[in-house]
Amino acid sequence: MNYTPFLFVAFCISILVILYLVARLRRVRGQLMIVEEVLDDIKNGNPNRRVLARISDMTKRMCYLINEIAVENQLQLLKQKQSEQAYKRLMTSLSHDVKTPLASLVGYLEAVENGFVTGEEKENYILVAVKKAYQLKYFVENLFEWVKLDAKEQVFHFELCDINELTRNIAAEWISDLESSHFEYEFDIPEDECFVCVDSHTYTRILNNLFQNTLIHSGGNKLNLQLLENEKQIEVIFVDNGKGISAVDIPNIFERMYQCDSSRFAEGNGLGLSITKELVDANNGKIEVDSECGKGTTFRLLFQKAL
Amino acid sequence: MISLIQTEILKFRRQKTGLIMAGVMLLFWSGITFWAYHVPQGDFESFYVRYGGYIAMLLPFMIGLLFVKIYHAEYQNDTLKGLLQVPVTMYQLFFSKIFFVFLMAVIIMLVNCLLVIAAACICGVTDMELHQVVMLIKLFFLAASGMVFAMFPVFLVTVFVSGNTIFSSTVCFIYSLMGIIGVSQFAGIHPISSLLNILFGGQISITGEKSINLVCAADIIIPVIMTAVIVEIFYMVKRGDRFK
Amino acid sequence: MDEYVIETEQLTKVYGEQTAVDAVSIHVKKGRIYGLLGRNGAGKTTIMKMVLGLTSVTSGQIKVFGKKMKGQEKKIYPRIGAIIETPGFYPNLTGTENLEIFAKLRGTSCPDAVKNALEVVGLPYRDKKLFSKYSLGMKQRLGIANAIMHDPELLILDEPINGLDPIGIAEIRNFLQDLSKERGKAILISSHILSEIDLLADDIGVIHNVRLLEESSMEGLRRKNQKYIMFRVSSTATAAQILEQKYGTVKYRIEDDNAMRIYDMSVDISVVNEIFITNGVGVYESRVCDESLEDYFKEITGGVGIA
Repeated sequence: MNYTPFLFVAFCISILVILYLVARLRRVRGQLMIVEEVLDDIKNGNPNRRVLARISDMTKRMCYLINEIAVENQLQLLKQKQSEQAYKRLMTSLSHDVKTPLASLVGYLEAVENGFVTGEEKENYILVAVKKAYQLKYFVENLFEWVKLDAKEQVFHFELCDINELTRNIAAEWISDLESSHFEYEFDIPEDECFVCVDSHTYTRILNNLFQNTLIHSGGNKLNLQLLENEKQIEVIFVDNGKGISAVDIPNIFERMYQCDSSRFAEGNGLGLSITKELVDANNGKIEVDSECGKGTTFRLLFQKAL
Repeated sequence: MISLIQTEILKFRRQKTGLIMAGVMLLFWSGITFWAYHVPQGDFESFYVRYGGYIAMLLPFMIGLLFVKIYHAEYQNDTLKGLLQVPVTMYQLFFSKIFFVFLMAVIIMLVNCLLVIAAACICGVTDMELHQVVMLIKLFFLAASGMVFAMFPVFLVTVFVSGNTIFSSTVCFIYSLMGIIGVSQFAGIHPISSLLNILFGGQISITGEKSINLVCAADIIIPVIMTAVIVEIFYMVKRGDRFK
Repeated sequence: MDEYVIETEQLTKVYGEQTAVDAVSIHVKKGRIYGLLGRNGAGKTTIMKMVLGLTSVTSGQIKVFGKKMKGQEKKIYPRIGAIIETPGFYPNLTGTENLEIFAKLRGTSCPDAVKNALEVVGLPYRDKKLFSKYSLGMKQRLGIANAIMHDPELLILDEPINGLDPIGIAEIRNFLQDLSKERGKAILISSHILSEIDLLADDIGVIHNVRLLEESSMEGLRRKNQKYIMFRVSSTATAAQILEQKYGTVKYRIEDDNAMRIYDMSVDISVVNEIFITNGVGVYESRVCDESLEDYFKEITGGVGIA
């Protein structure tokens, strides 16, 4: 039988196979060169490069992995940049927050010094200047506290405290302020002891912040402080009947520099609640807020009882 | 390139064209079988050669029209701007479509092989041997590939008019008709005639002499090379002004 | 890494007698969204086509990623994702199949790229609906999905919001801003709608009558155009105190020792002038800055405006 046609066919087939393999090889080589170039680019600081791989590529898994690494890298850089930017933003807005009241303070004092005002007006000016100075002082103190917290340099002394007693004492100190601001108040603190492991100083700060917040920002006239105990936790509930916080703002109120009243010229600053949250977190507690516009706000602090 | 051809196949999904082609083939086949049924048969070889001859006449139309259709599809669907950014060059696109057409032609002819064998059984041709079936396959395969090469001038025209369906289809028709009808006159000039002469030389008036065969072969190959070169130049020149 | 992702220099396109683009030089930076603003037919699409190499350049230079396009196509194209005019796809295939064709040809950056891209633009994955049955908005979304599928560093989008409903427009806007700010991609979009460019773009190039009228950052443009009363006085400290005395709380900002801005447009500038002067503060300059972005564009386009 004539074998020639079969040989011919076999020859053709082997040629085709060789061509196919050569094509694959060239493709892989091409891909590797691209990978090299992309990796070089990523190393030089451009994390946006990707290596594209087709489904039939032999190198596809490697390419996908490289892309994943690049994406990770990018996310890290992004987070870093974001926190740098947040810091810069903080500094910028803070400098204005200091410049503006400082300028007006200086204005008032200069007016007194130069004798532009006399008598009762002069007294008024001095009073206003003092108030502004206290504002500045409070602000700068807050700022330092926040910076320390942020840099994790705050030192806490955790010890067993009777949270009921502690709360009672703090609340007592606020009574005069509440009364002068015409606030009705009700404190519902159990008589027995309840021990938690907290830093008493920071707990005081937390409650002070909440009181301050209510007095200045809530716009209401009734305040209710209640401590509720259950088996494992104790809940500190802080209710006011002020103007409340809108649903849009609620997720953000604990962010630094956030102010619900979007004018940047209100009294106070955006740090108070942010500090409060940091302090609560540092004490292994949780803080939640419930509010409805026009109906008031409820802050809830949760602490674990010391067993 | 392989991925391009694969995508050509993917683009062909849900097209009525495939069904139409199959329908035409079957119609043709049943017609010839019906006619052959009533005619006394000689041996298997002459039987299938005759079939092959008739089917080979149908091929140019199908190949040409198929190519025009898929080439025009890119312009019609405005997908060129997307494809060019992959990046795929027009030249690669052109050849991948030719490859696809080639694949289709081969598949058609192989299916026809089966159909011819079936017809042979129906018409009562008894002396089928293995080597004859092999020859049958070989003939049909050569017919398919040869015909694709012979249609290169039509492809060239299609490219030149940027896939304008009406003009290209008309050219395809006229070209195929001329090639088939003038099979003896145009041997050596018209690629289709040359091809038909090479394949079925024994059945047509001019005997299959070696020198004529070579001339015919050259007549097929030269247009192919010319087309490849001209198309390349055309794409290079026209590059960029495709989209006014 | 070069400064500009896209840089064109005196880019010109002439069709026979007609000039489609005349000596346009734009600069697109990384991590920013560049808006090409201009009326229909001003030449925006032609510019984009030339940048992509789809149309030949009559004169001028284009550099993408710091390199010229010619000869480097295989390396540069995979880094770009684009939509030009209405996106073209195969009508006899579903959306997913269409994207899979492009994924097969181009390669993808991760195994589920098609699925992810469809998810981002809000189209169903492996849906049975053929492209011929798609609405205009869906076609546009598919085009966007095709452009982002391979995670390119540069996006060139020709009127991307064309045909989208308001919610879709907002989604795409958020998505583009996310890509630009967080992932640092460069985006070039064109539109004839001023409000969209205003919301989206960081830099803007105004194309009018085939020429580039102006190229600047949006910030710069806005700063030029925000409403406020600008005062230059002898002493901002005193001025601030006087202002507070007269108006109580009023929004103002101290720029430095002599410059301040009052953002509250309800104050009467003449009254402020007077109280400053009568209280011994010298007023060197007071001005109402009152332009809106639209007025500004009307001005630079010679009164015709951006339609």
